[in-house]
Amino acid sequence: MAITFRWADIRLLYLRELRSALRERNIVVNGILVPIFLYPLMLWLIYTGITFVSGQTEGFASRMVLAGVPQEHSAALEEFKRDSRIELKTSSDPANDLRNGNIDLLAEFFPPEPGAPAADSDFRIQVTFDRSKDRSSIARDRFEELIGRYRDRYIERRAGTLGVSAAQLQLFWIETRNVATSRQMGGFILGLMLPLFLIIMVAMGCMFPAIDCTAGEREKSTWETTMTIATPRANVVAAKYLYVATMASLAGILNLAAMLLSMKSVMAPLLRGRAESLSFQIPLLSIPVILAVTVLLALFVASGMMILASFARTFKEGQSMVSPFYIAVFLPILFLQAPGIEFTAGLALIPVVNVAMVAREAIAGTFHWPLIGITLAVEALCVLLALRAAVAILRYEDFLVGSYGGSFGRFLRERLLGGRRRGRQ
Amino acid sequence: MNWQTVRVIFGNELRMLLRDRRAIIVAVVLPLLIWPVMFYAMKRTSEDREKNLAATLYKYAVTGSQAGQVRELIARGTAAAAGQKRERGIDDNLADFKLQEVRVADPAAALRAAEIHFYLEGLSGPEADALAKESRPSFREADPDAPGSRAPDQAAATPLRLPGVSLVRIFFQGDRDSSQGGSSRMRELLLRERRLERDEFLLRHGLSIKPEQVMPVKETSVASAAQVTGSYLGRFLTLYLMIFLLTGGSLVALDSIAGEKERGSLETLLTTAARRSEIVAAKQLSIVAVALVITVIQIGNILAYVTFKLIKLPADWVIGAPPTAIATLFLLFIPLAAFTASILLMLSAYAKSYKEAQLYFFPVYLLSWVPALAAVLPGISLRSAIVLVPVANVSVAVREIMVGTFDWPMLACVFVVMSLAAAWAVRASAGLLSKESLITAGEADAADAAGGPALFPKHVLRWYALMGVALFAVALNVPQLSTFRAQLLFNELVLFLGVPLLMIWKYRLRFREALALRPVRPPVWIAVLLAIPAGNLTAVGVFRLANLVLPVPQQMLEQFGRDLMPKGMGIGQLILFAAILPGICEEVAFRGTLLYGLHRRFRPIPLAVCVGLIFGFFHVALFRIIPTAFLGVLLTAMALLTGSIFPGMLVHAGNNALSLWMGKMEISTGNLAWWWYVAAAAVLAMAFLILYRNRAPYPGLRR
Amino acid sequence: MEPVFVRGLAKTFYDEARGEVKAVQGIDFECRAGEIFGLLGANGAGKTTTLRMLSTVLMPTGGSAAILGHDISTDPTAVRKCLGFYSASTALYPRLTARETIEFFARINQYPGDVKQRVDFLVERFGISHYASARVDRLSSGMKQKVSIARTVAHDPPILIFDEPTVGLDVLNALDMQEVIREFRAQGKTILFSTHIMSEAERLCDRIAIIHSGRILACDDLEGLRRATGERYLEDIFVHFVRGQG
Repeated sequence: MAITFRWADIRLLYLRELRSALRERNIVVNGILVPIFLYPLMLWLIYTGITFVSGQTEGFASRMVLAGVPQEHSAALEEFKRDSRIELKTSSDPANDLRNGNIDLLAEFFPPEPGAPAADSDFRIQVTFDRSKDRSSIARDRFEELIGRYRDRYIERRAGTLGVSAAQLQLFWIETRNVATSRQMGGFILGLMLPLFLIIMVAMGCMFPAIDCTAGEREKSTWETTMTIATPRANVVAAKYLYVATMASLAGILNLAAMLLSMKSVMAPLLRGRAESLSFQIPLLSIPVILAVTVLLALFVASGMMILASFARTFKEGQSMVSPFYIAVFLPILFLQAPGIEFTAGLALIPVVNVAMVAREAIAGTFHWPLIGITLAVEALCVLLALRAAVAILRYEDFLVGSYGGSFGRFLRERLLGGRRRGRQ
Repeated sequence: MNWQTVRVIFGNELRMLLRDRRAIIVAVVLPLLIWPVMFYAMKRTSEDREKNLAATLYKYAVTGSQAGQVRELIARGTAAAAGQKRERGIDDNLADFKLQEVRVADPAAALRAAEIHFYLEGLSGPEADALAKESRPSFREADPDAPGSRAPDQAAATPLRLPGVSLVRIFFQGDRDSSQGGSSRMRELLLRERRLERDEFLLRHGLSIKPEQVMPVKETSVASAAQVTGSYLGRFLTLYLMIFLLTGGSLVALDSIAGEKERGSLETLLTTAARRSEIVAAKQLSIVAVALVITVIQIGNILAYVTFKLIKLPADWVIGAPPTAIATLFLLFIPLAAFTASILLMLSAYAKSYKEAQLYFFPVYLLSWVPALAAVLPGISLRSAIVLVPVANVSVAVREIMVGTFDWPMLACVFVVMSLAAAWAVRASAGLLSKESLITAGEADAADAAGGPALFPKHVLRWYALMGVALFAVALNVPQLSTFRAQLLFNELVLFLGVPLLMIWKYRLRFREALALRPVRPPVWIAVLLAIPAGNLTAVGVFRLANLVLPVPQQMLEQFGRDLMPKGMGIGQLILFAAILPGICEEVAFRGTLLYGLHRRFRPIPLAVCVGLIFGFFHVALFRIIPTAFLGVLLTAMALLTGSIFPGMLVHAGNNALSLWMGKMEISTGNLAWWWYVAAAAVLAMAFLILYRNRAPYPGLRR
Repeated sequence: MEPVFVRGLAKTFYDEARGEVKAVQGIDFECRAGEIFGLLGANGAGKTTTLRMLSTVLMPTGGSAAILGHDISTDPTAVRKCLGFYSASTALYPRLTARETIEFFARINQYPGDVKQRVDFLVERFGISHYASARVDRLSSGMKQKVSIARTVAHDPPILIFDEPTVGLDVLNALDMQEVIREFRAQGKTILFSTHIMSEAERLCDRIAIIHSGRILACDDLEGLRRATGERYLEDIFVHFVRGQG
């Protein structure tokens, strides 16, 4: 059976599909709005939440009871009083108050234990707190910080009396410096998040159109109308396929653009003052590379989803059929979330995963051309295989009129395994 | 309520669900298969990463005038780490830190080319002093371990390097995982070596004891291990449960009413002798039942992974809740399940088809996370206003129960609040079932055919969503708009004035009608003058009231105050840019076209609330939403009562100007006694009474 | 009082773009016991809205109506209990079997007698028996129609409402439907029936109300209508009233 394509027909059908898609709320939301808004919005919410919680933590005062502070160390007490984050309390029954949450921490100062090595006028501290309460744990951290600083100063003073200067005490200074440019750092952060989102978005943008133009058409009973059009069936299928792939690529690309545009403002609360030192610009060369792999991925995902969805009779059924494929597409990516993974020829052979890796490297400005070549070839091969499968399935007439009870399994049983009981077209 | 009928419908629902093989596979079987893979993936990747970092042979270079000393330092450090492992069995990653020094001519270039993982530079004291004068490194980390000079009044300030102290600098490439990991381990190694050497140094100079033995602190926690575990678990338990209940319940819920509407069987059901309340009750029960079953399956699933060690629990976790606590938890989860089910039911009753219900489900799902995470807030206690917030109260209560510190009256309150909320939602869904426009969906949509002005009400919200996006995205990515003034001009003139004019042109709206440009009676202006200060103060009161439930950190407020009050702008200019301009443009956008577009969709009160909320959301910062939304509601109410945009413009501009003036004069209204706010509210009420007496309602409102 | 009694019944919708839409503007009519009463009107005349109000799916915004003395606004449950409502838009549950469907509706409408017996009887009566245990979504449209009728009368209601029952049916199935309706009349049931097909109304109805733009233009038996207009065929009678009104 020779397939003849008539591009004028395909174009017409393709445009019709696109036009009706842009009027369908589900497709617009899932294919256009969600990719643009969801992730920036979610990240913004998470970071706002984090700032909010940390602001709250810093906001409240820790209520402490300090008991038995020795006379020689009243300076320590003064330091606690000066700190605005600490509120000193007195309590007749501190143990009970601690349990009821009326105070956050009890610190008892004792003379050093007999026999233990001790400096002059030294003391030991018994801190009691409640680890199951955040406020109490925070109070402990603050106490440690203050007492630690006091201890440092005490040692410094002692060292001074022994003739050691503060500079001598520092021995040497250690400093760490990141020599990565703000662009490199931005690329690194983007590279960790973007490929995953790109693939999820392509799959999601693909899902609704794929179901809508197959199972959805059957449900709305426009399927038969479409099948009676005076053009070879292959043209109809090609147009639908191109349309689904277009929507999928569109979702991916829009998501990419949205992330690039909003990344800075989204990350700002997390990075506080350092936002300026990150730059989320990607190298120009990476744009065509990412576009190429995205489109190939979209073509692949579209073919897979359409094959599955075309068995379903209703939209809902279609969803149930497609979701396993959807999950199968992005599950491998979970293995790639560690930042240290290198892009190897082995990874380049795994579909979908290779796309994620190419995108990640491209964002960072690294281009391993042989690996990119392998990736493109592998993806193209997947697309070809899926299309072959589609052609093979479409040959069965009873499939076109919606038999097999919407079941892929039944199709396999009756058609491919159970022999050819009914005639081929 | 006829329970016989409820039982018949309930049985029917369950039977139909069980026959939907595919849905069950997707909802139950698929997760059972995927979870292990996901957990395995997460475990595997983190293990692999650690293994990789441990196994890597880190190549580094040493440069600088003190390179020799640095090499010796590293040698001593590695020897000490190995010694520690041998003698005391301490293995802290540093013992098997594989290092190899590489001699390169240009370490910086070698690092860029990834030939080495990091390099160190040793500088003598004078060199380091000269360097410090030259530049302040921006990516500089504090050295927490170093004693040093601190400014006495700045307690938390980072210590500084003293003049003359030699410097070791570690250079790494932050966008390379191995470079980052290697350099941070090198830093750790050096820090530890320095501590050891300093202790020795002090002992040599006559300190009688080791510095670490000075002022020993011993810590005890009064919380048992079970309580600590409980506090960790309790933080997220409600969220997990909520997720399970929502996803499980959605299996029935989305199809239950919305799907039936789509297939037409809802109308069949509505013409039977079953009451709407009975139908809703039966569906609610089936959602609860399915949600609970799926929750149990999923929890069993997780427990199985814990048993098979796919999920590793921290070693010090002790799970030991007394039976009463478990019973109490169950008691609280019942109204939570009922509430979740009713929310799902409401969603399903509101949607016209299965697809539409799905569309609504996702935002509801995400929104549910917010209250469910209330227990994460530190220092929040059930003995606060949170007890009145559904879901959030369960979240906090669960944590308190898990820790074992709770009081029964508050728990009873939670139970009552949740039950009331669930009952309200059930009633609302029953109401939605009676809502005719939702039942007889799909009647021809005249607006689409008519086009032009008739289409505007349908599209208005989309326009405002786009404006919201523009507000966010454009200002932050166009560097020319980064100044306060430029941003304000863009927002006000382009977005809030330009876009409404564009809408008026595109939909061929009548200019005066769309913007409500109508004269008002003279007494209205008296009300406006009263409303400016009264509204301002009442909004502050509302903000403080909201603060009781969700306190806003002081930091954020101060930051915001700074942002709002740019330096170097005179009060006159400020009032022009931040009072008069917003007063005109924002009113055009919100009380003009937005109100016009929505005025037929809602009845007056929901209309005012809706316009007010959208107005609030445009003020971005989370904590500002409530007070600005309140002002937005007031302004909308004014426009509705007077049928004109002008009073709102004056109040808006006046309110902003008042705030700015008070900010400039450093008058704060945030700490007044409560009766100030009550008095302000009373004046405001009076202003509205005047408006009501002289009303000329907005034309075409729904009754 | 007549079994179906309607006075000044009105329904106003609210539409975002159009404002108020008066679908039914105060209509009066009544159906006598044991007769077939036909509502005849073009699409959008207000037939379905009227019948939906009588079946209590919609609430009237004006006037009143009573079914067997039960007011549709104040006692909707009692109304629905003595009512069987059939329309092209009242679909069946796809995942229930035919028998389960009938049983479900008998129970939910509180059939007073033995439900099993009633279901058996209906399965026998409508010739459903050979596919009674197949799921509804696997049935042909003719089969579905029979199950639909069976479920409408599952609780043996004294009053039946058929809203355009023959829409979308082929000639034979439509004739079957007419036959069934006649049979229900013979059993003494009161039947309210709407259609836009003149021949159907002519053949089936004891009395006919012509409804247009939410108003009843005429209500009489066929002879009465002929006398009033001087026309012979119902089609002409209908056009006479509608044109005369417009």
